[in-house]
Order: sequence, then C-alpha cells, then structure tokens
Amino acid sequence: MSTSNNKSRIALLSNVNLDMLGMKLRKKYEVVLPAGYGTYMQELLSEKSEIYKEETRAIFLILHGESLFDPFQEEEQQVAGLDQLLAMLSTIVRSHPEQTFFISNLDIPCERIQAVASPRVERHLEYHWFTGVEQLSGSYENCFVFDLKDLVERTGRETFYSRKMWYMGSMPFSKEGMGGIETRIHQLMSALQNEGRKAIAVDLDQTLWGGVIGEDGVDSIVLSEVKEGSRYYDLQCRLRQMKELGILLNILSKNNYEDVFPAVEAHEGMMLRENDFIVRMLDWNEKPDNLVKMAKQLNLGRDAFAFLDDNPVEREKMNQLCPEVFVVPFPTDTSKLSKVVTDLYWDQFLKLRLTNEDLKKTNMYQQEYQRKQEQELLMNQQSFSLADYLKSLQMEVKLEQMKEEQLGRVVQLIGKTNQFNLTTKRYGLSDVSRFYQSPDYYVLTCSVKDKFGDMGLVGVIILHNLEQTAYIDTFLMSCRVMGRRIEQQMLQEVQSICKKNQLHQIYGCYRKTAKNQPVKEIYEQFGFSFVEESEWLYSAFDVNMEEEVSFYHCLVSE
Amino acid sequence: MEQFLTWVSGIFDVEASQLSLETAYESMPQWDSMMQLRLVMEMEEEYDIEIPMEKIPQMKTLGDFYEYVK
Repeated sequence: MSTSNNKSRIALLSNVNLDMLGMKLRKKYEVVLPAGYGTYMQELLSEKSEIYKEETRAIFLILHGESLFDPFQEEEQQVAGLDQLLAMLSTIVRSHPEQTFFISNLDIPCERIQAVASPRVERHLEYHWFTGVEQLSGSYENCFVFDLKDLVERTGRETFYSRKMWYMGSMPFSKEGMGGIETRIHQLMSALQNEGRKAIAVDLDQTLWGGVIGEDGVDSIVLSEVKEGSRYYDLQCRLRQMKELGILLNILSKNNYEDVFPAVEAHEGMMLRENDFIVRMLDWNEKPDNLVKMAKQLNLGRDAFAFLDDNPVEREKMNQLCPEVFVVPFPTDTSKLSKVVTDLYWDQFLKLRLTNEDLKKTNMYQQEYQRKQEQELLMNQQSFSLADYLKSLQMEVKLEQMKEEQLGRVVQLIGKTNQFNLTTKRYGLSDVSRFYQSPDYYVLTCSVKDKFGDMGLVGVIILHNLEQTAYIDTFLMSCRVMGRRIEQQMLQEVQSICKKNQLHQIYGCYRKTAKNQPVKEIYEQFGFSFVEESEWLYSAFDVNMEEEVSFYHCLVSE
Repeated sequence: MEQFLTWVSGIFDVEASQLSLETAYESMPQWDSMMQLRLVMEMEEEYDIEIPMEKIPQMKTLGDFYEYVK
C-alpha cells in the first residue's frame, strides 16, 4: 500500500519528455518515469516493468497528439494506427485489473496548411481517439480518461505549450502547461484515494441569490436565467449537479424559515428546491455552532464539509472555530461564482465513478432524517426502549460474500469510514481486487433495508485466513447504521463462516485513531477476550454470541 | 545580483553562498541539460524576459544568465 517514505507511488508514461513534470511530482509522490520517452508501449506490455509493482497507485499515460502522427500520412492509415494502439491498451487494461490507468485524450493543433474546404483531419483523429478511450473507461472499472484537452482549453493553447522547450528538449509543455497537468494529477489521486469531502453548507442571501429575501421580499431577489440574475442561476445549476453526484447540500443561513420557504420554492429562477437540501438550518445562531450541529445530525466529521458564504466575517469565524471545514474563497467579482464552485468540485469533491449509493445519497440521508425524527418521537413515549425502536424499523439485513459489482462501493467505504472502523486500513481498488481473488481472504458485505428505504451496502468485514486461524483484518460500518446492533449479526456470520471452514480461532484487533473511539470496546462486548496490547488485541475461542437477536430479519446467502 | 543568486539557489536546491556569477555548467552536477532548460523556463517567467533559443547553448555560467536580468 504505502511506500517506506509514505508517498504514494505513481507511474508517468508518455511519447514525449516528461522529466521536468516528474521532478515536480516527486515532491508529493514516488514517481516511476521510465528512461527514454518513446518507450511507453514497451513498458506497458512488459509484465516485469517497474510500473506494475504492487504499490503503484496509478499509471498516467500522457500523450502529445502532434508527435503521434506522420504529417504526410493518409487519414485512413492514421486512424488505423490509433485503432491498433487502442486495441493494445484495451488488452493491457484488461490484464491488469489491479492497476488504475489514466489515459489522456489528444490535443492536435490544426497546423496543417490546407484549403478551407479540405477536411480537418486533426479534429477527426482527436475525436476518434477520445471515443476509443472513453469506451475503455466505460468497459473497465480501472481505466479513466485523462482530459488533457480540457486543460489545454482552460489554459489556452499558446500558454499551454512552449515551442522553445519542444525544439530544445522534446518537452512540449510550458511551465503553465506542466502546472496544469500536475494539479490535475493531484486532483485525480486525491479522488482515487477517497480524500474528497462529502457535504456543503451554503448560505442563502447574496449567495444562492442576490439580495436579502427577508428585507426585499421574494419578488425583488436577483435570480434569473439571463443577465445579472444568472450568476446565481448558474451557481445553483452547479450545486444541483454536485447533488446529483451524491454530494450533500445543506442550508446554513441566518434567516427566518417563513421568510424564505415556501415563497422561494415558487421562484422560477430557483434550480434548487427545499428538498434538495438535507439539513436546513435557518435561525439566528452562530454558524460554526450550527455547522457542528449539522455534522452531528448527518453523522459526519466537520472535515467532511465545505462552507459557501458571501460574508467575510462569517467565513473568518468558521475558519477560526472550525478549521477542519473548507471555507470556499467567495469571489469579490460575482461573475466568477460559477467557476469558483466548479473549481471547488475539482479540488475538494471530485468523483471518479458514480456508485449506486452516490445516486441515491440525498434520498438516503433524507430517510435517515425521518428515522431520527421518528426515534425522537418514540423515545419520548414512556416505556419505549431502543429495542422497540429497532423493531419498529422493520430491518432486513443481508450478509453475503462480496460480489464483483460491489467492489466500487466496498473500496469507497474502506476509504472514507472513520468512526466504526476497527483498523482503519485504507485499501485501494487493487488491494480489494486481490482479496476478492485470493482464497486466503473472505470479504463479507452487509446491506440493510428498512421501512424508510434501502440503505444499500453499509458494512464490510475482511477476513484473512492463516493456518486455521481467522484474522479480522478490517471491520467497518457506515455511520448511517451505527447503533442498530448490526455488528452483532456480522460477527455471528464471521463465526459461522469460520465453522464452515474449520477455523477454530478468530482474532480481532482495534487500532486506535482520532475518530474510532466509539468502537473501542466492541470485541469485548461480544465476548472476545483480551490478548495483548500489540497488533492483534483480542482473540476469541469459540465466541459465545448466543443472545437472541429478534428484531432483524436476517438473510444469509451461501 | 544577490537576489538573483538567491533565486537560482532555490532552483538548484543549494545554499546561495555556494553560488556566484562565475559558477559554471561543468562545476555543478545538478546542472545538466534539463536543468539548463528549466533555468530558462523559470527565468522567462520570473523576470518576464525572453531568451532567444540560439543563445541557450552558449550560456555556460550564471553570469551569462544574469546578463538577461540586470
């Protein structure tokens, strides 16, 4: 997983000289940059290449479009050349499921001198290659497009390249160009390692719309599809797109609920509706206090949040009192609002691939809200116990060996679960694929439904079998289902798996982190006995977990 | 000049006191052909100047680079 110096390892391949980029990236990564820059295909095809070492986190193939082609070749031949490359890449990506590939699209400047009516072959080739790489990304979980063309467009081509560096050192990119590629690599790596945030808290007045709704009234706020109001319209579109990726939107505003809703619901410029937000904090309390409350209600850490507010005083307070929150640099020129939010997404929230859970996320969190409300209601009645509440939820717990299509979600949970996580080992796609294929590992998943809805895959146990002993290498559960005694169900399943496989001992381990205090005593609670304060803390010999659990309906798949 | 040498020392990743305008290409192991190009690239940005391609191979000491700055 991590290398000795704790830097992630990445490989950089290209048809041009990327030594200088490699030098910059070495500050943050261990970079494998094969000698000789035309040899990327040989490296990719050689099983023994340095790039395929187990610790490699990602392989970046950055292609310089212009130098891929002979400028006097016919288009047909050029296309055939691209197809051949694509076919090889397809084989390579397929035969290395444990590696993650980022393959660039092509930027080919229209340098060819030709008549206006002649076909612009450069454009055809760019598109042909892009379609091919996008298909790879669609077919293989471990392959993504590295959108070099997007970087060129954002920077401007004149600035992105340096002819001087190209002629003198076969280095086509300028300092700015390399800077752009470097930033994009950081963003992708951060997304790959699940370092992204999960929720945004947004202010309303002067942020989601122009003007102050409580004073000016809903008819006077600045919000429209065209002209000045479209600064806010565009911003709302970006936020809604983020919501559709499973990023949780919340309101954090000093306002009276009645002044805002439902009046604003009917406003035709609103791209966001009240129910697009999960927690709606509209009162006159201090925002940092409210954000702490919000985090609790969502069962998230403060570091999962970004905060968008036009008021510099509020931003400063948040910075001071909740330094873990990412405070978005609100632009003084509001025509840049939409761009600021786009950049926010790329830097703090980027998603590589959507899981089914992501698509349902806002819904699921809203259901969780309803659950909490019902729980409060029930708990206020006398003689109502937690067990009664759990029973009232009508839960269905499904335990099964991990299936291939669950890989993405399992990796996501491993990457981001902090509280109910006994060992907090951050495995990547390559590690979990290895466990999936290995007979020495068993990956158990747990999915939960109740009367409010389907919460999907929420728990994972990775068992490592060694010499007739099972080690619980990883045991984690989404905070969404904490406190529902599902952990007991999972441990019982571990026990029955062990029985079936004639493993007579189970070892569990608690590794303390800043956040996993809540599960410190879990093994003791379930009858494991304390062994020693080393890597493996608890052992259990024929674990006694006979206590009847009556409030689940439990399905155990073979 | 002091300022220029301090700036260059950041790029070479050495102490500024080790550098002078006489410091030459051959005398520093980290000053290879890639570093030569990097110096040009960084200088063009830092000092908003343009160094003609023809001149680059002839620039052998820090003094040669300093000519474009002063």
